[in-house]
Amino acid sequence: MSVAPEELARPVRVGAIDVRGVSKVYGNGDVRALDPVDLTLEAGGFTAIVGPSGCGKTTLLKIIGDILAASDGDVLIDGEPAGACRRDRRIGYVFQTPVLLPWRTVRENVLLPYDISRSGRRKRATIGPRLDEVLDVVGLTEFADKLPTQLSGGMQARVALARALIYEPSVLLMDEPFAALDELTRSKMALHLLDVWQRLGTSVVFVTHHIEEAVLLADRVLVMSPRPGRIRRDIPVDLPRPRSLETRRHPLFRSLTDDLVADFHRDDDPSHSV
Amino acid sequence: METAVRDRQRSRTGAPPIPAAQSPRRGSRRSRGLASALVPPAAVLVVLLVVWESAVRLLDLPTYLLPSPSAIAGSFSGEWGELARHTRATAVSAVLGYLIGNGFALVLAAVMAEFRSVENALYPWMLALRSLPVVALAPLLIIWFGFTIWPIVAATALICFFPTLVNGIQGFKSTDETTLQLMRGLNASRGEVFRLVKVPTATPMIFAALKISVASALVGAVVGEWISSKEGLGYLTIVASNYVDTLLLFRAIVAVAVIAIVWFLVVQALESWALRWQRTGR
Repeated sequence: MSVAPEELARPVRVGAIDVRGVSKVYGNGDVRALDPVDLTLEAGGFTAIVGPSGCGKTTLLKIIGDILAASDGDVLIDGEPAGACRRDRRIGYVFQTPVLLPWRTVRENVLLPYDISRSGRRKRATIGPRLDEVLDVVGLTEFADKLPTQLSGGMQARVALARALIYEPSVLLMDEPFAALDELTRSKMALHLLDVWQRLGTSVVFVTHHIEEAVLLADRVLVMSPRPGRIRRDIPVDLPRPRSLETRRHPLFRSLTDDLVADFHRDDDPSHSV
Repeated sequence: METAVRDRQRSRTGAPPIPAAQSPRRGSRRSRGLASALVPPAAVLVVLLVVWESAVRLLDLPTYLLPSPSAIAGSFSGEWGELARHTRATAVSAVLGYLIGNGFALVLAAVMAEFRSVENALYPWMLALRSLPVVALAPLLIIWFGFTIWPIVAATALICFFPTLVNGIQGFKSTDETTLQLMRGLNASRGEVFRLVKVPTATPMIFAALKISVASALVGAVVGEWISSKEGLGYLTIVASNYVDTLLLFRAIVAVAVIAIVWFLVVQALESWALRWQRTGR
């Protein structure tokens, strides 16, 4: 699981994200989900977005992935509109739930992107070796013929990750992908993700409300305020890499998480609310 | 489920339930499960027949009122050819109507589920038509189709149509929003979303409707034959009733029941093949 084939290595860092004045209102403009956001994320970076429930982090992520349309503003990935990138399979999206198709085996779920003809960059027949690599990376080789209901929650999350990795996107957008997992599986999956990310050179944007997870994984933590969402703080995380569970003992890790937790509690204070 | 049935039986006999993991082998567990699924209903049938037979004999009921099971069974001899002809006629009308009615229903359900405007325009009419008793249309169908099997087929198709339409629409629309977003993220076309996601999601609901329609189709065919036919089990029951030939009546009823059971089992077999992914538990 920790050793991946060389072929997965990608020397060029890709996936610079440029968010320009993106906002989102629902209904007739009465619900402001997201106030205008401007953001530049460098290619190959690992960014975490944290914030309380309902602060619009998922909305922002879905707009970056062109799954949801912005009310205003636009998103560029490596200089191209997000819509073009999505159609060109340069964006991988991992949802809060694994969203596997229960009638398909693990293998067939991971191959789903190749059943979609408009963007099948490779023919399904030639994808065999790539499939083997991806299943190996997420450690599911032996479970390729199982159905989703036969897998644990952690394994289902890894199938969802494999389905996003199979077409080698330049941007990986993850919306609390480990939220449903127990603490132990969760930190294992997180370190596993770091492993995959460092080998691929893709950008990762990782939404979570788990502060320690954010600091452990990311180069940069963005803190969002409650609805209408906007980015309130932008914190660089200068912890050494590669990171491991040991990283949590680093003094900088402690001070960053303490700071962020205090910040969150400040949000709960009614006298502070906007 | 098999385990649950077995455990319930064991607890009735006072023995503690056996955990599934302790069962020796999958094969024997399944055959025991099948046996425990078949034995109780078979026992009920036997008890029922015995009570019926003894009641007829003890009360000395005349055959025209209620023949005994043994008398009914005996009366089949020499009548097989005639019965087979009528059974075939009913089966043909019912199956044709079933296929046509369900076929149209599923196509229309797909169109209505995919196109909001079509659904908005048609759904109230479909609900109104569903409440219309199809039997009331029979004379009209006879005027249109003449004294052929087609008015019967049409009545059967109409009876099957509405429940399947309603289930189909619900089924095709029951895909959750996140799965649709996943497909959007992968740049799937509308046709691909329908084929790869909506059809498999709808399959359980569609089969539920297809199983219900088996009974409806037979009602349609038998009632249709009452009104306009010189052939079929429905026609036979009318003749039997006119001549107070209760044994003939019971033979026709048995034949209808046999069609229903065989047909239902076929649909159920198709269902468990189509939904084989649901059977693999944890």
